[in-house]
Amino acid sequence: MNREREVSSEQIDLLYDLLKHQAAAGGYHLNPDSATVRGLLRGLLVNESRFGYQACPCRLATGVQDEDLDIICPCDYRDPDLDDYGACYCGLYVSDAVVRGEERAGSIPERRLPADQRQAAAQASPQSSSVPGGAAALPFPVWRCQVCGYLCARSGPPEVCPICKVKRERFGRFIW
Amino acid sequence: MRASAKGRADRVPVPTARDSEYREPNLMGGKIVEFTKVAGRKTADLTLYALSTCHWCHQTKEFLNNLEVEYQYLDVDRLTGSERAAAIAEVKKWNPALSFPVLVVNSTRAILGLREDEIRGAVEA
Repeated sequence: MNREREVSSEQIDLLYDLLKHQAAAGGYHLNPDSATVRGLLRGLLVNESRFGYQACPCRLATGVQDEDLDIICPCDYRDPDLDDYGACYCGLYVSDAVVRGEERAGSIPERRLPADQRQAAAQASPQSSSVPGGAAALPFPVWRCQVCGYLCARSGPPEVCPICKVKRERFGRFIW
Repeated sequence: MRASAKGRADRVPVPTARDSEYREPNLMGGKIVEFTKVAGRKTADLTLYALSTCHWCHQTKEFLNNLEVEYQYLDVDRLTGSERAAAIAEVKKWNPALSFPVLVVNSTRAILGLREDEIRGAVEA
């Protein structure tokens, strides 16, 4: 962990440009304060060099991808936090109202449950529901992006969410 | 949104060790964990649990640096093994949600997040 490589300014520039494009295409907004964004992107890149994925820089990742899946940026909590607080937990993404200066992003409490409660909650409420008639009633299962809520009916989830650009493993089976 | 990514003001200072910082071992949960001590005015007894990757933790250190007070901090994400487990257990005592930063004041209470007024209040009290 002490051998993480230094993140260059150019790497931050590249990621900044990429996320700006992706955010605009999906109807999201990066924080207008570029110094804050650059600080957060540095953290994301450090985490990528440590773990192989961009875990939230403001949360303690385990380094086990399955356990950190919900906090890989953009995290599962971004959209509800944008709705409730005008910004995501780390402040990388903000709402349209915040960008336009109509609202101020406030302090954001941690929505993610502690590990033990997270596992219990996942077991108590399954992510998918069945339809009457079962598999025969639908020609395809419906998959849901756990980050942005995008739904698609196809034999498997897409490689990348067309809306928020997260990878396939962030999809769950929603209806079958 | 439209701000240039290349302007001078955009440069994020790389966190560097200050001349006034030194490492000091603390005993925590039966484990010896090295905290970084930052020299300054002796006010309250301040221990900051932080993440090295976290922008808000970094801002909290900067805020304390600007107040020029003495404090110690621990970047929990840089720890491994039993040191990390001991640090996590300690942070959970103050903040079961295990969010960062956590500033423990006089070993009696914790300020969660970068709450400048609260921190200033605790330091000046």
